[in-house]
Amino acid sequence: MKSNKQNPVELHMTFNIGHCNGSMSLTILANDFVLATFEQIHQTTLTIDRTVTLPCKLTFITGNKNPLIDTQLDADGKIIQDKFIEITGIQLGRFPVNIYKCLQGQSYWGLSGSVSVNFDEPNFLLWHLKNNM
Amino acid sequence: MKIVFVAVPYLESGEPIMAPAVLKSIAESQGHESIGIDINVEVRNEILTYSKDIRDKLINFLVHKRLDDTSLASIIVNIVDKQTDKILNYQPDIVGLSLLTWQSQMFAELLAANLKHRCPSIEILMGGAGMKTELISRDTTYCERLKTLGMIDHYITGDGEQALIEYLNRNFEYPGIDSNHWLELADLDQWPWPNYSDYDFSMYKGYNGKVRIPIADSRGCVRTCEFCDIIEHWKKYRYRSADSLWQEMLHQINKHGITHFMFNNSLTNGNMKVFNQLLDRMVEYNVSLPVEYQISWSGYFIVRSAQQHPEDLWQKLSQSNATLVLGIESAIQRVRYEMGKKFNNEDVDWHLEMGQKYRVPILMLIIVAYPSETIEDFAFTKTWFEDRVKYAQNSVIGVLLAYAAIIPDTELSRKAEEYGISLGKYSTVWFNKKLGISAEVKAQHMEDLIQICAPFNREQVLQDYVKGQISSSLNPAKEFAHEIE
Repeated sequence: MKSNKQNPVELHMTFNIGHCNGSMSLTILANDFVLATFEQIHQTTLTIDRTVTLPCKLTFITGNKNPLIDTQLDADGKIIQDKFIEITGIQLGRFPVNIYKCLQGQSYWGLSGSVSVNFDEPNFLLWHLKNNM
Repeated sequence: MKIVFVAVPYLESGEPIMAPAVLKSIAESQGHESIGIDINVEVRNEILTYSKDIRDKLINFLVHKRLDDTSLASIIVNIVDKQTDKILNYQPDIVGLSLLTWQSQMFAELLAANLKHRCPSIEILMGGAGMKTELISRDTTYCERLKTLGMIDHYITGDGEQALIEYLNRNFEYPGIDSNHWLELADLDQWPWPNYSDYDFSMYKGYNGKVRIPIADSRGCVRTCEFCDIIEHWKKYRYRSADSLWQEMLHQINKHGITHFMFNNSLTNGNMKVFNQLLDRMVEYNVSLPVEYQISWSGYFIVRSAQQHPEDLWQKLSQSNATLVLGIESAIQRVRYEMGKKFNNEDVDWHLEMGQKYRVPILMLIIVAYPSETIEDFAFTKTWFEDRVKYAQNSVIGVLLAYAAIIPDTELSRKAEEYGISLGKYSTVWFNKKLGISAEVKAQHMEDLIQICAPFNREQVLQDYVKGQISSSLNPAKEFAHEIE
């Protein structure tokens, strides 16, 4: 039995992917380290499991979105097809992160840009207790 | 396989928790190496070292999952880390987390996540009534959620003895494993006695300075009180033989040198024949010994008539050093009959008189503002206690007051419409439209009874039981009453 008392902690993330002229690109950074990067995501859901060392700032960088052509509207202006990435879950050390609270409601990414979550404690339980209860 | 069974905090009780000792025995009987530990007492003792302000905040967090002061986060993490270390030091393959009440859910979640973080390969099994908010609830949301999150691997509901054996045999299809459909045990005598060898009894405060070893003599109940969830959980009353119980008591006395026992079930006198046989053995044991070496015990006790509980029974209760927890529930005879407690006021007085005559300490359980009690009944209840003050601390050593709760899926909840009751979001939040007694009035009645019953409560009892009872029953009725009144 191997016991891990160090700061590395399991990170589990799930996403919904919207396609319209392909998908958005996604790069996930833990501080400056690239945890995952995708130019194209072909599936409609994406699950990523990684290990990160705390404390760390997790940054999601999305790209490859041209709002003029990658969002299709019907005659009433209603979106009928969109290129987007929606983060549906983060578990840090198996504890679910309150995405709405930690991303200030920005869980649906329909534009190129970046969003960050700062896991700024050395221990995942400490971070959850201070930020996520 | 090596399994560590853990009693998960948080319980106010300073008494040993039985489940890990029971589960350890069963696992060992199947050839597995097993450890049964009660970390509740360690966590409780550690929390008690903090100032009242911090202590209250920590308990509020563990019980109600609210952390208003994040500066306490590092204390909580240290406590969880320390217990994680302790469990992992045994190098188990499986950790069994036992939750006695829902108040253990927060700590269980932190502990499970930390165990999986520190040792991802460890298998975590969860069980106990505390996985659900109510004993009889069919709701497995909590354990299913933890399973989905990967914090636990399996859970067991209901009677866990046979299910644990099947689980250890990797038969995950057995009823009760990862499901809410479980089988009641038929024969309670067939199971090994709890093994407390991993418990450090010096850590417990005990009752009246005496550490009591838990013992279970039955499941279910012979009565059918409409408010009770026990009879819904265990449909049939089952009991152990006097011989089996007595052998277990002797075994624990010889092993631990502790002669005080706490019966952990709904009633000790469900089967009078077995109960008398056990009393006879205790009396025979005690008769030739100085008091300090004698057996003593406490347990729930149902009221019966003087013919059924004659004076010689009280003699035996006295000689066996019994402390009785008496579920009187209401001072109003009519209300008691309505709730299913078929004993009259003379029967209650008989018990109080006999308790006084034979020096048998009695703790009375009273439900405050039962749904069918009127304002006149409130007044009668107060007078009833005032008239019985002669029993205060002689024989009655405490009156445990609790707000009436209407627990889902009990007979009382099924009769709610007939009684004209609107139900709120918590079991103690309800309103009888026919009687129209507000939460404010009920709360005042509780306050009045606390004052009136104060002379009955011994300081020690007050510390051990009554404060806990009152604080836990500081119900949300007032807060949520506006939704239903």
